[in-house]
Amino acid sequence: MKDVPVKVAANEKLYDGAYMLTVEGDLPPFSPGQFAMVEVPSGERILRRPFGIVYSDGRKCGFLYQVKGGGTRALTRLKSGDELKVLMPLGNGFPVSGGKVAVIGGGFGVAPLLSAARGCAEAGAEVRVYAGFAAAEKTLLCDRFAEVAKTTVCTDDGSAGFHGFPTAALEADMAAGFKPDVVLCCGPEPLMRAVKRLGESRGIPTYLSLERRMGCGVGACLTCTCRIAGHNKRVCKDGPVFPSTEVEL
Amino acid sequence: MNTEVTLCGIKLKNPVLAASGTFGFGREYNEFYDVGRIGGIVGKGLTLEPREGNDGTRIAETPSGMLNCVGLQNPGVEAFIKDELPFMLGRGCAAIANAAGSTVADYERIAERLDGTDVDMIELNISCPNVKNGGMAFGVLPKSVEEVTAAARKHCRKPLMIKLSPNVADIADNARAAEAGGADAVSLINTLTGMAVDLATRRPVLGNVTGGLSGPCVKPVALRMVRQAYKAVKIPVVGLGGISTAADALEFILCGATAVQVGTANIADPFAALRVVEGLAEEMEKLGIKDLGELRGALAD
Ligand SMILES: Cc1cc2nc3c(=O)[nH]c(=O)nc-3n(C[C@H](O)[C@H](O)[C@H](O)COP(=O)(O)OP(=O)(O)OC[C@H]3O[C@@H](n4cnc5c(N)ncnc54)[C@H](O)[C@@H]3O)c2cc1C
Ligand SMILES: Cc1cc2nc3c(=O)[nH]c(=O)nc-3n(C[C@H](O)[C@H](O)[C@H](O)COP(=O)(O)O)c2cc1C
Ligand code: FES
Repeated sequence: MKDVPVKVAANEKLYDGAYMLTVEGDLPPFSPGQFAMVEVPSGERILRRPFGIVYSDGRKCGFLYQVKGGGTRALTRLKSGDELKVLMPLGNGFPVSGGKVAVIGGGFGVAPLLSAARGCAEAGAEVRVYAGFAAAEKTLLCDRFAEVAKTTVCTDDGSAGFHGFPTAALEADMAAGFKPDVVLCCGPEPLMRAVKRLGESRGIPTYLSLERRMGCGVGACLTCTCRIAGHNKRVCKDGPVFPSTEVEL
Repeated sequence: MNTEVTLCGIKLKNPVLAASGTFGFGREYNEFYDVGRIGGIVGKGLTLEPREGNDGTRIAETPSGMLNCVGLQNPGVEAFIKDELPFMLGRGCAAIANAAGSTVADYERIAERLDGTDVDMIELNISCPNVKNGGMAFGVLPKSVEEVTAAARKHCRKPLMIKLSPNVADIADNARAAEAGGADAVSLINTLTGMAVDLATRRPVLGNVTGGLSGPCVKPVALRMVRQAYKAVKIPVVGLGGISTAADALEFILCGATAVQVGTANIADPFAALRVVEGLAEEMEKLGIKDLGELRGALAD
């Protein structure tokens, strides 16, 4: 955990409302599924914004972000060479295991899953990725996922890949004999709810990466809590990844 | 350059304390720097029994500030004494326990319990806006400020600091009431009650509907109230509200504060409290002062 001064190397628009921010600096190592608190270049916004770490090689690291409100809009104005601070790596991250691993995400939720898929593949796992998007022009990171694992791109409108939700694609594979030992998931709440149901109904350990509004990102302010196994736990420090059985969705 | 101050008989190596609720019990920020370098740590607000705090969204950003409605989530005073206090005491800076209750009896019992420990000081939060009966009721009327202070006073010999709410008619009256009740110091301000709403969903942003406003945006209010309290009482005043730089800290001292607390700034920048400490000497040099005592209360108003 370090507060790293970084320089913007690139801030690339992927499509309207989707950007990849690449920063350069002396970056600490991270575990798959961990996140960063990124400083927003806007005087009146005092809080940093949490983003999953898409990749980091110690020199460069990437964040995939969706333009949602004023803070992320301010981020789009960053240019190469601009300086900012990035607090990372934060949180617990996904469990990395061998065996058979299903990685399932939707929309910007795929951001922390690339490192998870890579980590499991490097640990010798048979990894299958199911990545769901609204339409072909909204797909994210698909080539990168395909480099590390067998990837099924899914679109809600069928304009690319599998026509339907990623849970349906996973269920189809399971019907064809794929038996994952573990499921790793991040995405919008309806997806996580469906994945929780799917994993638990088959007795497969399932892990969900949660999102909460955050203050400090390091466990001190208790503003990011979520009901976990009946108690309010800090998503930033005790999570963001929790076993699905402990999460009420 | 002398940044040392004495607060209710306790020597602080510098006047910078971490504010309750923004610093845990110091563990998280100790991973970034030796938290013993600041003047002291005020721990998260404690209640007699463990509390889960509020459900739903607990934070909303505002221009130059934030709202929170954590609702006093804490492990309870016994777990604090067993699991957190030893860590705080081992840091080499002042360890201050912050306590809240819903009844006068709660305040008496928690003050008594903390009195039997090695904490350097007890800060009574009679002003938490985020829980029903979370002390705020005691913080509003001068009569009840005095009553709850006097009740806790009877049960503790340790230095007792009363944290005042800014959501009151006349802060000077409440500071005087705390003094009359036997307080050794007052600290102010706690958060200002506020709200954030979502136009699209027509719902409040915060799970608790209202929350406490803090950060740079409250500093002008805090400075004004610290000045009023300083003029109203003889006991030391600890100033806080929106401090994020050493210059901010010195402004509070100029208005009469003996020590200051840094809160929300820690949330925005993990090194904030340390940066305030490190910036003091340079700011004092700019002002041509060698001791903070030369500045304290010296505002020409
Ligand atoms: C652990 C974690 C990882 C995340 N990873 C990514 C990622 O990789 N890519 C991505 O695009 N988004 C990610 N998000 C969501 C992202 O942080 C928010 O979309 C972003 O903070 C919105 O900021 P804003 O200023 O544009 O929105 P505003 O609505 O103007 O923000 C106001 C406040 O609310 C907070 N906020 C608003 N929406 C969210 C949200 N959905 N989650 C958390 N805080 C929110 C902001 O941080 C800010 O403090 C992640 C969230 C968390 C908690
Ligand atoms: C997230 C959060 C939690 C807080 N919890 C407490 C608390 O438990 N007890 C208390 O006395 N004050 C609490 N406060 C109030 C602060 O200690 C401080 O009085 C207030 O935030 C103003 O100072 P600041 O602007 O420097 O943050 C909390 C503030 C924040 C932002
Ligand atoms: S964001 Fe502060 S505890 Fe999680």
